[in-house]
Amino acid sequence: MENIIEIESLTKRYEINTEYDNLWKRLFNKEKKSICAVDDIDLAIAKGSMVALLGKNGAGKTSLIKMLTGIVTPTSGSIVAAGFNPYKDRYKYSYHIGVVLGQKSLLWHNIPAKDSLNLYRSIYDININDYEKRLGFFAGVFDVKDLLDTPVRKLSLGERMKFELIAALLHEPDLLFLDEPTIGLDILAKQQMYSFLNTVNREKGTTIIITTHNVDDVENLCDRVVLMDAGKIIYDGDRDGLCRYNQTKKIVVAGEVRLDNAIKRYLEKKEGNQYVFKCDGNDSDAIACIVDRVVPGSDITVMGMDIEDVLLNVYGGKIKL
Amino acid sequence: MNYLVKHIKVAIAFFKISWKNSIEYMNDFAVLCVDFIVTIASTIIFWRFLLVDYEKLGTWSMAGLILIGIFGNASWAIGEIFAGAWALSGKITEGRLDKYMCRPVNTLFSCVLEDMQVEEMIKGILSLLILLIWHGIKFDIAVNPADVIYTIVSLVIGVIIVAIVRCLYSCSAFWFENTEGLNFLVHMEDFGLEHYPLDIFNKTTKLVLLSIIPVGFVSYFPAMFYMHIIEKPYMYLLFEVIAMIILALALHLIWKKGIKKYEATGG
Repeated sequence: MENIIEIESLTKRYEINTEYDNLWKRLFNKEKKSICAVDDIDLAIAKGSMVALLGKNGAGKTSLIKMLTGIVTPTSGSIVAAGFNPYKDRYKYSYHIGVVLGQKSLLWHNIPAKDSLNLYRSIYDININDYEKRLGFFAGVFDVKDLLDTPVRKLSLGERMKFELIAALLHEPDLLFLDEPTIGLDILAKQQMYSFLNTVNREKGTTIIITTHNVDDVENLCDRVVLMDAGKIIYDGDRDGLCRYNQTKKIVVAGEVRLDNAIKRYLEKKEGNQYVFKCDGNDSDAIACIVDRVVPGSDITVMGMDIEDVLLNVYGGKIKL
Repeated sequence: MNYLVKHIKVAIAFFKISWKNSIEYMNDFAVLCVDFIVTIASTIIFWRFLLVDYEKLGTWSMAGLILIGIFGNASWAIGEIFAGAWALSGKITEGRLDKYMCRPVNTLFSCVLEDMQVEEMIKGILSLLILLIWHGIKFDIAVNPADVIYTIVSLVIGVIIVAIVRCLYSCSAFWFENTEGLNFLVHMEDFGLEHYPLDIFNKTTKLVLLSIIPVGFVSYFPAMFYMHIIEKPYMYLLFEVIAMIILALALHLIWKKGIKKYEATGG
């Protein structure tokens, strides 16, 4: 499949003035501290894919996204996205991307959402027929047609996020960058957003890149995960592949367990009558030992580690990828 | 050409949004008009008390001084069409230029026009019209159409010049990161210098009032054209146009350098 993004040897270093508090020293001081936010990475993203960009705070995700959107210039290396160099061809490139960055709203607070969307029609040179067709499509998928005339300040957070996405997709970009799109949303709003993004990806072929700390976003949207740490890509592959790095099994017991020294070391937590044990998935003796001590009539669930558990172990240094 | 046409369409779209924003709060508009007229009334009272023992200040009569005050105050209101120039330094220091840089519209253009206050501009224009009619009746001043055209052009250029200079001060945020030190220059109406004719000041002060704090362009020049004090108004207009072009070029260059720094530091 054709790649829509190709990154080679990409590096971004920030030069930070060490004398931050003093204006005059800041102006004349030549001493700077160099921080490597993105460290010599290579990455290729296929057209039409949905990719989660994960990593703890300071891993370099935002710097990478900013370079991909043309906001930040790399220190070295190259990026080709949708056939453009994002920072050199920013004006033309911006017709091909949609961006929803964190809490930075694309909409005007006091006026109906449709008026904000009309402004984007002018910005992206969308002709009126295409605009109405697309607005009808997106508003229908998101079921927000009745809210088009409602001032944005009167919308709930979930409704507002829907319109933010519509604003970013009206011009049918090839690439959509989303930064924490589900933050603060309730379960229903999240499900609606997942359904919307999957529909857009499937029907419009839009490549979607999401930076998120929410594991649900990964599980519901992305087949591919790129995990960053200290500016480097430490994992780039499918979602299930990430879980295979951790062979730990989790045994959840709802009921009673005869806790003795043989199994106490596997106990991770106990809340009321729920016990959570963790042990190596290859250690069948340990699993058998735990199961033997479960009192009949209790519920036992044996499962592999989910993405959240894997990430916790990666961030905590317990798993090396 | 397409680029220019597109930006005109976007400016019209910003105008419509700002207008819709303001009609959400119509009561505020009435209060703004009252506020403007009260400000002008205080200017009139000020000059009446100051000139109680004198007929003129320099070569300027009470009629001329009040007219300078009317144009000065109106220009601040009309200049709110570029209200984004005020907020520009905050957007730079807080890294809020990102969303503008991802759109196919000139970033500076977006930042400045997005926050336009159409209701302030309309208040300025309406109040200006009312007060000019009052002024004409009160001081028995007849104005010819050519002078009115020169006045309008001069006022528009003056408003643009003030907006450009505000943007220039705001651009310092790219380097200083916190422009509290220069913010007082952005709020140049706080000095009240737009009420005074330039010719009462020395050469240095005149230069300052036509450059660093360019209030001369929004009050003194329009008043001169309106009262037909100048023999060759087109020469003064040419000077204003040249000043505007030079300042616009300076802003373009400084903005380009600033954006490069913003890009390098990730905002």
